[in-house]
Amino acid sequence: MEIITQFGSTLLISGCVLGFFMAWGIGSNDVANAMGTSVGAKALTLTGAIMVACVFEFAGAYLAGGEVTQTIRKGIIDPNLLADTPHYLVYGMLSSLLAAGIWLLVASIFGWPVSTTHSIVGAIVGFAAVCIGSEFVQWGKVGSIASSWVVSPLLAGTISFGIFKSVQILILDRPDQFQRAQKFIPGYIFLVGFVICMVTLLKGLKHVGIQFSAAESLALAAAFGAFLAVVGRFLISRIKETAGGGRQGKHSDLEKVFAVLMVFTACSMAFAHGSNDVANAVGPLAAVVNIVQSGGSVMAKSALPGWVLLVGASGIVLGLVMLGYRVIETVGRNITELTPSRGFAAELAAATTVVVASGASLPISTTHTLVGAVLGVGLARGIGAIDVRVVGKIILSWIVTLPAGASLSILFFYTFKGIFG
Amino acid sequence: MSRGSFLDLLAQSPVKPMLEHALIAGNCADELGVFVAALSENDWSSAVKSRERIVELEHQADDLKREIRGHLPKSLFLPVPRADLLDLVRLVDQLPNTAKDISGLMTGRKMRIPEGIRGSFTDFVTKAIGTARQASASVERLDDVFGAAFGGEVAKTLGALVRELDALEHESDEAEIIVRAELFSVENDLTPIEVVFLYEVVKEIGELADRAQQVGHRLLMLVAK
Repeated sequence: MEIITQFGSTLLISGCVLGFFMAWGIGSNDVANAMGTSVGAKALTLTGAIMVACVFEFAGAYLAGGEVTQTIRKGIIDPNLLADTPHYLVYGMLSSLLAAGIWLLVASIFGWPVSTTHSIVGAIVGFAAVCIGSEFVQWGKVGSIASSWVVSPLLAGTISFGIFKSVQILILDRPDQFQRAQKFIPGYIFLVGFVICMVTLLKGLKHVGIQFSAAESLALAAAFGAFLAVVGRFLISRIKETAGGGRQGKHSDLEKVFAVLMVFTACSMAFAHGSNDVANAVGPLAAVVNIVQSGGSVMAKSALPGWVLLVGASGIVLGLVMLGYRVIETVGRNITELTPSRGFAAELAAATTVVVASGASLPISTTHTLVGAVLGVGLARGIGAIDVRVVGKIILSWIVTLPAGASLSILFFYTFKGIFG
Repeated sequence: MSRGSFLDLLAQSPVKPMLEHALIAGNCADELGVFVAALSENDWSSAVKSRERIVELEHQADDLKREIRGHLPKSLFLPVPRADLLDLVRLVDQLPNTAKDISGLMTGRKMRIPEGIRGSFTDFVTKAIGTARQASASVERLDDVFGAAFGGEVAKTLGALVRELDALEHESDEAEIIVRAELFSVENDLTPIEVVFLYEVVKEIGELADRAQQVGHRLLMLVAK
């Protein structure tokens, strides 16, 4: 207790700096995976992608990021069990932020496809199990998080397979592709708006102080989806088929219509990413803030302060503006094979899965979900060539990340303990 | 500095180089027509130039074939079996090879087409080349096939193209019979060696059409479910 009151502001400032830095890292690096697909498919320009990402990452983080943040803050370790030694929780959370941050930096230098989510969860579980005792870890919750890491790519893959198959049957495999695309794509846009809005209304807005019943949410989400569909329909109607463009011309006309759809899925992807990944940065911060502000009491019941989410959301946006654009540009330039008709299916499936996970307060990896979604389109015979070796590399880096994050956070925990006592 | 992107997952699609490969194969076959026309008019210098273009196109096709193979490592997950794609590439690559062999044989032996068979010979060559053209045009529809994710509608369109290809190959066969008959009737007026190599050239031209037909059938098998 004395430690908290004595070093309170130091710990709080450290937490804010580390949390903000972590969010900055997410913005400069992870957002590229969420947005690169759209830029690569030329559905968005780089500037457009940055603007979409800023607005929707922020909105997702602030409006729908609360649930996952609570999981990181108090779902993995039960703070009530640490009522006598709250400073251990503070050290641990700071160590986890530092560990994940450094591990991600190392991964960046070597170009490993490492997940932020896995780093932070591995770090928290690691310090808790080793430094304060494995009985403090809520293994049931950790188990459900771990299984969600397996389920989310599978789910996204199944959804994207279904979405792409429907596109193939309704639009691609028809002689009048262009007309059918104009007809059906507003329907997909409706779906984008409906799903994102529904999950957010049901689960996300609690901490902002707004609560709707299921029926109200349903009606609002449907109205939102319909509104987006109308906007989309207008945008699509402005695309004219180029006369006498030959078969090549027909292809690019069709993809232009899908590109409109992909602008919407890009927004939903940014929103979904913000809603899930902000927690990696601000979850530990929230735990620190909570303990320090209450002068050492753990108070698991207390609400999540809104400004904590704001710190994370602004960190993401700053990282995005400072470095993220360059990463998006690089990532986007390297994809020539993912056209909007494919990319949208992958994005919509991934965004849906991630938003549902955010609603279910499960921290999952957006990138891995996207991998599953891209593979789903591939299984539907939609992608020319997929390099399966990359999947192996991703799985390997996942397996390595957990012990790496854990060892680093254990190291930092003992360092903090040595400094502050 | 960035963490490896999952988008490395997307490897280069083999479709674009395959289209280009088929286009070159078609152009090479067309050039064979120019070559034979020059030769039958005894325009030797044009024939030699044409022969050089055929060799050049055959080289380009070879390079592309190697590039396609290089970009199709075993670790790729493709919408169709990798072996089928590679086999199609191999068959398409036989078209420029055959054109090169025919023009090589005719240049090397400084062959002249006897007046008596000139008309039917030209007709035969034109038909065989038409078959090869049709084969390359069918392969060039591969981007539609990949674009529609191997849907049934596209397979139908392709089926129609390949039926047309069969008809062309049949016509070329008929033309070959006529050339052989005319050659038989004039063969006593020619030296025996000339005759042997004329039959050889006719056989090779017939094979150009046959191989073109094989391309079409391989393509249909690729698209079929």
